[in-house]
Amino acid sequence: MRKNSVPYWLLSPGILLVSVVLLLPLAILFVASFWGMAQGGEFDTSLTFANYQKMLERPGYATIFLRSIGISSAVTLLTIALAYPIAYYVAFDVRHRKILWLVLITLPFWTSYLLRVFAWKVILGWNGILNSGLVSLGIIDQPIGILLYNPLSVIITLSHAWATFAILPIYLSLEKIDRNLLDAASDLGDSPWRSFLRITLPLSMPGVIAAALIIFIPTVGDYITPALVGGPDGLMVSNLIQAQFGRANNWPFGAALSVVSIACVTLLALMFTAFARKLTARIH
Amino acid sequence: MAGMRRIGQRLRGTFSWGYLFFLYLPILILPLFSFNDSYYISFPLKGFTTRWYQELSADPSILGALLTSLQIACAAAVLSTLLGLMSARALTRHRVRGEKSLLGVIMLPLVVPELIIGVSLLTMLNHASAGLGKWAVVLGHVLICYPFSVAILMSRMEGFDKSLEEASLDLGSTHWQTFRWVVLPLALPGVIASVLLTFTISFDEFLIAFFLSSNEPTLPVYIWGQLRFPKKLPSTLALGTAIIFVSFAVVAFAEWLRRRDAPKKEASQ
Amino acid sequence: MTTDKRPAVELQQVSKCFGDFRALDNISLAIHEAEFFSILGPSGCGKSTMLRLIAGLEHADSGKLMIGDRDMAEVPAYGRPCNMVFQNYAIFPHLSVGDNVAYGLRNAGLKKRALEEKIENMLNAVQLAGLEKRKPDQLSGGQRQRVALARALVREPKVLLLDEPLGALDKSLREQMQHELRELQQSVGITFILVTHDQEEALSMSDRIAVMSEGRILQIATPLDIYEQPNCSHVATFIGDMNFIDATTDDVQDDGSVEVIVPGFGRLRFNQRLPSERRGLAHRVAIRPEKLRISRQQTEAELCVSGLVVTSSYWGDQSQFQITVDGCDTPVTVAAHNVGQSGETPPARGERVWLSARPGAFLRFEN
Repeated sequence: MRKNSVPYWLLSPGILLVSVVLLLPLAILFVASFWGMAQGGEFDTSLTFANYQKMLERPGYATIFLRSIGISSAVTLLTIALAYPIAYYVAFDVRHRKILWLVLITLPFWTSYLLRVFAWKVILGWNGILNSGLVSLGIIDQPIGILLYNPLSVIITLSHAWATFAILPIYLSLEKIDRNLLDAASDLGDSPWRSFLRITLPLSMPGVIAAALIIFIPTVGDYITPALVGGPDGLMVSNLIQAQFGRANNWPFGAALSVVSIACVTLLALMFTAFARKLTARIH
Repeated sequence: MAGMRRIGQRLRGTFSWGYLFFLYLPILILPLFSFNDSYYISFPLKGFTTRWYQELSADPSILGALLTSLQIACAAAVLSTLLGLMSARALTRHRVRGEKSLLGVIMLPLVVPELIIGVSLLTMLNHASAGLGKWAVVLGHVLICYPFSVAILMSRMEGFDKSLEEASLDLGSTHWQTFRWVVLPLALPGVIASVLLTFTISFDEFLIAFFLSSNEPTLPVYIWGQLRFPKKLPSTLALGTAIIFVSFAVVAFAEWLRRRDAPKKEASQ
Repeated sequence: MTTDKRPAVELQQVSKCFGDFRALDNISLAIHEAEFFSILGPSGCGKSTMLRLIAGLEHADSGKLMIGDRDMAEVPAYGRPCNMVFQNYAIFPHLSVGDNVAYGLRNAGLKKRALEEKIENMLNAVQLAGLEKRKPDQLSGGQRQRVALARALVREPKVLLLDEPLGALDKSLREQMQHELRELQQSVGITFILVTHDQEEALSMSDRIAVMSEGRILQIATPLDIYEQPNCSHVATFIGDMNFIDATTDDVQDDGSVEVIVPGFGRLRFNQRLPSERRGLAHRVAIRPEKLRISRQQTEAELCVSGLVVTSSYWGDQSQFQITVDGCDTPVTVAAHNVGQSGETPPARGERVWLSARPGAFLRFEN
């Protein structure tokens, strides 16, 4: 009996950590979303739906929610589309220096996220590196203004920042594919392109789905990127939430925004997983 | 047919190198302009200087932020690795009921945006009338580092030969001695990798620290504050360059440690 | 013969289940001091479980385990006077050869000088002198096995447990190590318990063998008796090759002997009865392939029958034949050592030959 309880003792501190530092605060945040603000910056802890009503009544909030989801979807698609070929290259074409490639791909991920985003701001700005570089090379006369402070710059920056998270899962699922299957397919008369479509792509779908979830879920709630390179048109829901806990000083409303964004993301992720599962089931 | 394949391979190779360049471009831009003798971060380059670095070392508030970050990162790395070691041990060595859902709970901090972690912790600590500061940041950082630590240590400990531990028991060592003399030495590369990587995560983390650090800013929070002042941009670039190079060295060492034994393990099985 | 020896290890009605699987089913057995005892059986028969139970790495659901005169129920693995050589040797990869051997002495509180001396002596004994500083990944399979042996023996256990210790070695090395293990056991004079699925290994090394199947012990006997007098058809088939022929009891005599009709071989007389012996009892007789002699002419032997060669295969040191004896439906296998002059061709397929045997070479088993 004593022997069987050992793993649970070993696990309990970690589970306790997640419960007390993540789940409990989330629960409190949920409760706080039904509070209101009283005079003098105090919370009014009587429960009310006012925060949620406010979100529904003012159209601006829905726009920002939709924009966040739109930007994240675009980032997810773009990142996976760019990541797939490099994952394929490392899995199938690179023979001797696989570990070097993997380390090179993971390395940027471990460097400061803030600094990477900041670097994009420096690159894309009005007086930034790209504009000044193009001007000094004589390719353009005037700096291009549309590079920074719009949804596009957010998408570029985010898909750069999350590249590693797309490449690695896709690489892992490609690496797992039995090479004999491809030989068998070509032996049975499939052209390389056809065997890619009929074998490699379907078998790598689990990696693609994992990558999609890993990128989509956190980017909806990303704060730094829209704050630094988004401008007013590129604002996302997290900037709104931060404002409630900062300048606007309306924590309960910020809590309500957080709850809705978590709910939206969870719902979308579940729908996506169900859809993806159905799709892969059809292929097999 | 073979020609087509070669062309495809060539295309993918070119694309991959290009993509790698795209990945590293922003990181390489920072050091380039940190040595540029101008307040404006734009081409053409004006000339080589190290004055931004001198400016950095003369600023006492940077030193304070650096110290805070180091303290927090050390605490978060040690604590999360300790918890990760216990959890990884439980999950790899023992048969645990509901292992999948437990693993799901452990990995949960990975999918919750840091902003949400920050504001929910802020709300809870505020509600409990607990003060903010370093220890609150450590709490948040241990939370986000913990899943990484578990993943790194699990991948290290998964292939462990159970009979080594049995041999140790058979040779007269108690369970604790077996852990000290057999399990820990074998897991050591994973433990070091976990300490280094979680250190880096904590050291670079901005959002949670932004909400919880109160009047003891960490280095990323300090940098964030500096971004508003155009005059401070070059020295911020210098600071960023320094941070990135140290992270690179630390992470490259950790990755090397973690993957070093991998081929050997395959060969002996 | 063995009554004067005290048991070194004794199991009394030991059972062990893994879920629904009965690994050990009410096992009772006594292993003597200074005995080389083998547990032989196919994989999954429970032999390794028994060894791990003795080592303290598994715990019995019921029953009693004694080592010497101590009950082991409350003694953890690290407190037992026995040590194990693991199947894959379980050499600690992070320790040198010397440190591996010293591992079991860490808690012994020896002085540095005494410890070094002990290790040196041990390494000499297993012919690993001079390799103290080597890391395990620089060792050959045979050397790893010697390290595992040294590491266990240096603790001077009462009992050495060996879990398929030769399975990972190639054939010639395996034969050499069989010999060395036997010598080692005789020189250290302690009990060795060997688990193996290799019958040759068990037969050549052991004082006694326990044959196991599905969690039970079928027979415990000396190698000679196990081979010559298997107590059931399972043991007979598991050890060596055996021809089985359906037979019927014809007559039970007053003096205890029975007469049996064996198709193709006629009427045979046996002195021992089967438990449910009666007239007309259908059962099987068995004979080992090498107990049948093949010849081109009829011999003077008491039992000599004629048959046709169905297959003939030449294996170098011996030849094997399948032969249908006139009047018997099942072909019998015959093994003949090629002791004849070189160039002599063995009987070929379709040739008529004579088989002769001693009637006493036949065994009987119930169906």
